[in-house]
Amino acid sequence: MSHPFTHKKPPFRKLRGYAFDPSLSLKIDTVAINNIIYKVPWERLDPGPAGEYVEVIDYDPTVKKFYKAVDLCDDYILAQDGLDPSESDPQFHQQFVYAVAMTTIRNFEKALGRKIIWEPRLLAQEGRYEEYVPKLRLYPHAMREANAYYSPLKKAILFGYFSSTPADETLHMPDSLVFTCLSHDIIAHETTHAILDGIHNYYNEATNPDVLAFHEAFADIVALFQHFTFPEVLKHQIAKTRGDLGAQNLLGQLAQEFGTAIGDYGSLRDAIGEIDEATKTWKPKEPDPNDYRTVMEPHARGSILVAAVFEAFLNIYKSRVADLLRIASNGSGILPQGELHPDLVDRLAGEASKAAGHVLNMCIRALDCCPPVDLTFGDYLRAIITADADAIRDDQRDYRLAFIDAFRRRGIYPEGIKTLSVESLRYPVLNIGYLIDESGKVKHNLSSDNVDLDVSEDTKQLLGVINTFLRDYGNDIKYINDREKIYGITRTYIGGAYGIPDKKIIGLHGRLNVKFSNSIDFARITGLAFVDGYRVLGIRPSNKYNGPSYQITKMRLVSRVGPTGAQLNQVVISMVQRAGAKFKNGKYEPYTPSRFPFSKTDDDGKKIPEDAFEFRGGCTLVFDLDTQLLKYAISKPIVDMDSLQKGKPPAINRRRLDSQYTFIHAGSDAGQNEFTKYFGSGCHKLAEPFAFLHQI
Amino acid sequence: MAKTTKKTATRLKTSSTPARSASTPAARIDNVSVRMYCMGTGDCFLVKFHSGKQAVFTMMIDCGSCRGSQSDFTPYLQDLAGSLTNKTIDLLVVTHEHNDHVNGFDKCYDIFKGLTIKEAWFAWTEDPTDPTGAAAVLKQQQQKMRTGLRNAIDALDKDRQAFLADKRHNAFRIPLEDNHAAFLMGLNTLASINLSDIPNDDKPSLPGMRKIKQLLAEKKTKIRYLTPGSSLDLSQLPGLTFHVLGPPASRDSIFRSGKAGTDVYNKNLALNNSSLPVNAFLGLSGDIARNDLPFSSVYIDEPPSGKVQSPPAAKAMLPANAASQAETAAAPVGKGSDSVINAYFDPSYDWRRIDNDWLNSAGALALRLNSHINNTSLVLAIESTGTNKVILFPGDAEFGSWESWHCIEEWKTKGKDGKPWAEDLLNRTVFYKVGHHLSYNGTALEKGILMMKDPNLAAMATLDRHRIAKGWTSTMPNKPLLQELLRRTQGKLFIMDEFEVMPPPSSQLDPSTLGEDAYIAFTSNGKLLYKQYTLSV
Repeated sequence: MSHPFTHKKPPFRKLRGYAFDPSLSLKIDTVAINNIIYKVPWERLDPGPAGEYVEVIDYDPTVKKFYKAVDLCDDYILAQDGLDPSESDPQFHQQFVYAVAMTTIRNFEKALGRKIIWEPRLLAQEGRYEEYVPKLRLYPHAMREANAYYSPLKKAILFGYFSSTPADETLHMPDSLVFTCLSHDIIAHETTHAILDGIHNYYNEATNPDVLAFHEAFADIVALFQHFTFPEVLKHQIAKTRGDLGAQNLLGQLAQEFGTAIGDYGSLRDAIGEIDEATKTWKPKEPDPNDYRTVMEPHARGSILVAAVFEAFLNIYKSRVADLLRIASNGSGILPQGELHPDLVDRLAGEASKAAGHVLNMCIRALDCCPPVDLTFGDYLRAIITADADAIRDDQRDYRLAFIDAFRRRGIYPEGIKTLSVESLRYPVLNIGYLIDESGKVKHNLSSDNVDLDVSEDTKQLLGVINTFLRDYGNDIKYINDREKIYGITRTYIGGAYGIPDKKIIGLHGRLNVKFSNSIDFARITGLAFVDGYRVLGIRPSNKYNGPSYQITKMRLVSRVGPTGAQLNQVVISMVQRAGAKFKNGKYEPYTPSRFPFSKTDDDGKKIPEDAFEFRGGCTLVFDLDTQLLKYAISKPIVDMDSLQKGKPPAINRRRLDSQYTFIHAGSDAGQNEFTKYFGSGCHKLAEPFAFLHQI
Repeated sequence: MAKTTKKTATRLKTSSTPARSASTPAARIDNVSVRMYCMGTGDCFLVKFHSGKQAVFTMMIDCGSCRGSQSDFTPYLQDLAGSLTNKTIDLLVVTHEHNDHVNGFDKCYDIFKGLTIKEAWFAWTEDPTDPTGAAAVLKQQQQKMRTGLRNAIDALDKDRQAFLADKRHNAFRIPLEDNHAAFLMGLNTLASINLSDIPNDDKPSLPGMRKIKQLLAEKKTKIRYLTPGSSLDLSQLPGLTFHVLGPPASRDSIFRSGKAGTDVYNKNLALNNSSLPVNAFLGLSGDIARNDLPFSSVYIDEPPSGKVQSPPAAKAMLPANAASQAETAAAPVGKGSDSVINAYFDPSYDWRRIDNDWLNSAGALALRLNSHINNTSLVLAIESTGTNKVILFPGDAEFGSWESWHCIEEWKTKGKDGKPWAEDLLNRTVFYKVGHHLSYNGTALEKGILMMKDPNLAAMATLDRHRIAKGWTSTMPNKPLLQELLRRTQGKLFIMDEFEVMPPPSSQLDPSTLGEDAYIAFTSNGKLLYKQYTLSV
C-alpha cells in the first residue's frame, strides 16, 4: 500500500487490553482501570501477529489445531484500536500477548539505549557456533497446565491454560478456563526471561542459590514496575484513598494484588507486605536479615530481592511526594476530608509513575555492569549503584542510598567490600589505558586511579589500542537499526572477518589473544587465566591461537544520555572462560573439557565422572569510548587472585569452585521443588530450567 | 499423662463374631507387637494384641512393595502365614490402592487363599455402595487419570524414541537425552506405584486391590468401609478403641495441598486442574473428538486433516488457497493464517516446534494422582482407654488428610482443654507408623509430628533404599523429617533398612540393647524377614 507523502507513519499502534488480567474486568470497582490501551511502536505486521521482534504462533498441540491468526492490519481492527478484550476470542489472546511482549521490549530498549537481540541459537558445530534468531516465538496456547515458561532451547514462550480452582470464588468462576496468556504479569515476566537470556545467557545456569532466583526476581520486578508506569491505574487508586497520607501503603497493596489474580504468580510479592489481622490494613513486612542466609528455593529467595527493590521504590516515592503533601495540607500533614483534588491526584500518580520508571531503568541498566556468570544479589546491588553513578552523577534524591538501605535491611551484602557506602559499592573506576589520537599517537598518559592494580605501561598502551578498535566498532554500529546487521557486525568485530579481501578485520578475540595470552596484568584485571600455566587449571588451549581458550559472549555499545545531559559512550564486553573440574572421593582434580559444551567426555575422549562440571569464570569489561580508558572490570575470577603474583604458579579459584560444588550437591535439600526431584536430572543440568521452575 | 476418658460421638459396638462375644469376656490387652515385614520399600504389617504372653487378636495392615516378584515376596509371607494362630487373620486393613501397599495380595494370592480372614476394613472411598456417591466420583476420576497417565507415558516414550533415532546434529543432545531419561524415570516411578503392572490392564483397579476384594468376597468376609469421625470397639479387644481419622469426608481435603514450604511442596493438587490435561491425554489414544476445545470452532484453522504430525508433508499439502478458504469459512476477522502455519512447519525451524512439550504435564498429573490416592488412606488411631496411649497407622496420608483430622466436626473440641480430638491423640501417640516411607509429604509438620510429644514415642518406617522405586531415592528420606523423628523418638526409629540413611538411627540407639521383649530383628537363611517392636499399652 502506498501512502501520500503528507501522511506520516504513526508512532504507535494502539491495542486494547487488560491492565492486569480478565478477572478484574468482572469487578465493578476495577473494570474502569483494567481495560487500557497499549501503545505499541508501529511496525509492519503479518498475521499472527508477526513483526520484527516476535511472532505469535497459535498452535494448540493438545488438540492438534491452529487457531486462526489475527491480522492487526485489518481495516476493522485498525479502526477500533484492536480487538475487544475477550476471553473467548483466541485472536484477542494473540493480540494481547503481542501488545504486552512489545511493551516490555520497548521498556528495555528505552532503558538500555540499544536494540534487543535474542540469544542466538547454539549450534556448537565446526565453523558454526551459533545462529541468529530474529524473532521470539510466542505460543499462547501451548499446554494445559497452570504454567508458562520461556524455553531457551526453542527461543519461545509457551503459555498454558487450565481449568481454575480459585482461591477466591468471587473473582474467578470455579471450573472456568484461565489463560495464562491473558495476564499482563505473566507475559511481561516471561518476556523478561527471554530478554535477560539474550543479555546474560549464563544466568540460566544455577551455579549458586542466587542465579535462578535472580532470573525470577528480575522478571517479576519488570512486570511489577511496568504496571506502575500505567498512570490510569495509579490515578484511580490514589483517588480512592482520599485523605490517606500513607498512599505508599496503597502502592504496596496494589503491587501484591497485581500478582494474585491468576493463581500463584503473586507469590514472589508476598515478601513485600501483608494485611494486618487487627487493623485490616496493608502494612509492609518487616524484613528479616536471616532470610537471605536461610531461604534457598528460587522463588522464595527471589522474593527477597523483589521486596528490597520495592522498598527502595517506596522510599523514593515518599521523598518525591513529601512536598506535594505539605502543600496540599498547608503543612499540617492532614488532608481535608472528602475527595482529593484531581490535580493533586494527577501529580501524585505522576510522581509514582515517574519513580517507578526510574527504578525500572536503574534495574535494567544495571545489567550492563553485572558479571557474565555466577551472579549474586550483592553483585547486582553493586551493578545498580555503578550503572546509576555513571548515568546520574549527582544523586540529589538519594536513590542510591534508598537501594543500599533496602538491601542492607535484608542482609544482602556484597562480598569483598569493607564498608557499605555508595563509594565502596560502586565498582572501582580503573581508568587504564592511553588516549590515542587519530594518527595513532599517544597523547596523554593517564595513570590508574586504582591503587590495588599496578599495571605496566605496555598493558596500558595495549588497552589503548583495543579501545581505538572499539571506537571503530562504535562508529560502525551507531546508526544501524537492523537488528540482524547489528548482530552480524558485532560478531565480525568479535570473531574477525577473514578471506573477505576489502574488509579484513582482526577480531577482538584474536587481538586480545595476541596481546594478552600471557599477561599477568590482564589476568589480574579480568581474573581469567591469561597465564602460561593455564593447562594445569583444566583450561583448553585455543583452537585458533596460542594461549588459553576463552569466549567473548557479548559485546555491546552503550550510548545513553543521562537526565542531566551527561553523555555515556561505552562498549561493554563479556568474557567467559571455563575449566574442567572433576572429583575423586571429593577431592578436586582438573581435566581439559572437550571443545563443545555438554560433553560426557574430556578432550581426550575419556569419560568424565558424573559429578564433574565445567567451572566458569567471567569478566565484564567496560571501555569508555570518550576517554579511551578501560573503566570497569567486573570479574568472577576463575583463578585464585593471590596466586597471580610474580614467582607463584597460577592456581584455580578454589573458593568459588568449592562453593559451586557444594551448591550442586546440596541440591536435593536446598530448595528444589518436588517436581524437580521427581522429574529433573539435577538442577544444574536442566535444558529447560524455567519449565521446571514455574511448575505450580 | 491426662487421665480423661472420652466418649466419642459415634461409637460403633461391633460384634463381628456373635458367637464369641457371647462367651467369656476377653482378657485385658496389655501389650502390642508391631511386626514390619522387610519386603522392600512398601508396607506389610502384622500387629498382634497380647494379654500377657497370649496373643489374642491378629491384625494385618497392607501387603506390598515397590520391588519384587512372587518369589521375592514368598519367604516373607510364608513366615507371616506360619506365625498366625489357626491360620487366621482377625482383621485385615487395606489402607489405600497403591502397589506398594497391595501388590502382595496379587503376587502371593495363593498364600492368602489358604487363610481365614474374619473381617476386613477399607476406607469409605472404596465403598461401592457409598450413599453419597462421592466414592464413585473419586474412583471414576482416578480411573481417568490412570488412563491419561498411561497414554502420556506411551506418547513420551514414542517421542523419546523419535528423538534418539533423529541423528541430526543437536547441540543439546546430551542434556536433552539426560532430561528425557530423568523425566521418564520419574514418571515410571509414579506409574509403578499407581498403575497396574499387567500389560494392557484396563480394569478400574490395581491387581492387588482387585484380588483381595475378590478373595474377601469369596470367603464372605465381613467388610466395613470406614468414615472419619467414627470410633470402633471390638469385643475381643476390651479397653482399646479404634478411631478413624481419615480419609477426609470432603473431597476438597483429598485434593488439598498445604502451605508451600512448611508442610508440602508447592503444587496445585486441585482436582479440576488435572481435568483438562487428562482430557487431552485421553484423546491421545485416538479419540480426538473427546477433546474439549477451549474456543468456538469458528476460530479453528483447519490444516488438511491428519497432516499435523508430519512436518515436511504438511507443508507440501497445504493448498495455496488456504487463505481464501479460511475467509469463506466465516472467519471472524482477518485474512487467512497460512503464513503462520507455514512458519510452524518450516523445516529449518522444526527445532522450535512444540508438538510434544505439553506432554510434560503428565508429571504434574502423576504427582496429583499419587497424592490423591495417598490422601484416600484409611487412618487408624488405636487408643487404650486405660492408659491413654495411642498407636497411629496413617497409611500414606498426606497434608490434606492430616489437616482434615483436626477439623472433624464431631471431634473439634473433644480433646483436652477443648482442643481438637486429633491433636489430643497425636499428643499421646506412643507408636507412629511413619507415613509414605519418610518422604516430605507423608508426615505433616505443624499439624503432625510437632504434636507428638510423648517421651515414649517410637516409630517405624518402611524404607529400604536397596529396594525402592528409582525416582524415590531423591525424596526419601527427607532429612529434616528424619532429624525431627530421631529427636522425638530418641533413636527409637526402626527403618526397614538403614542403607544410605544418614544418620542411621541405630547409631543413636542400638535397638538390640532394648532387649528381646521390646525389639526383634528376625533373620532366616541369611535374609532379614522382619523387624518387630513390642510396646505396652
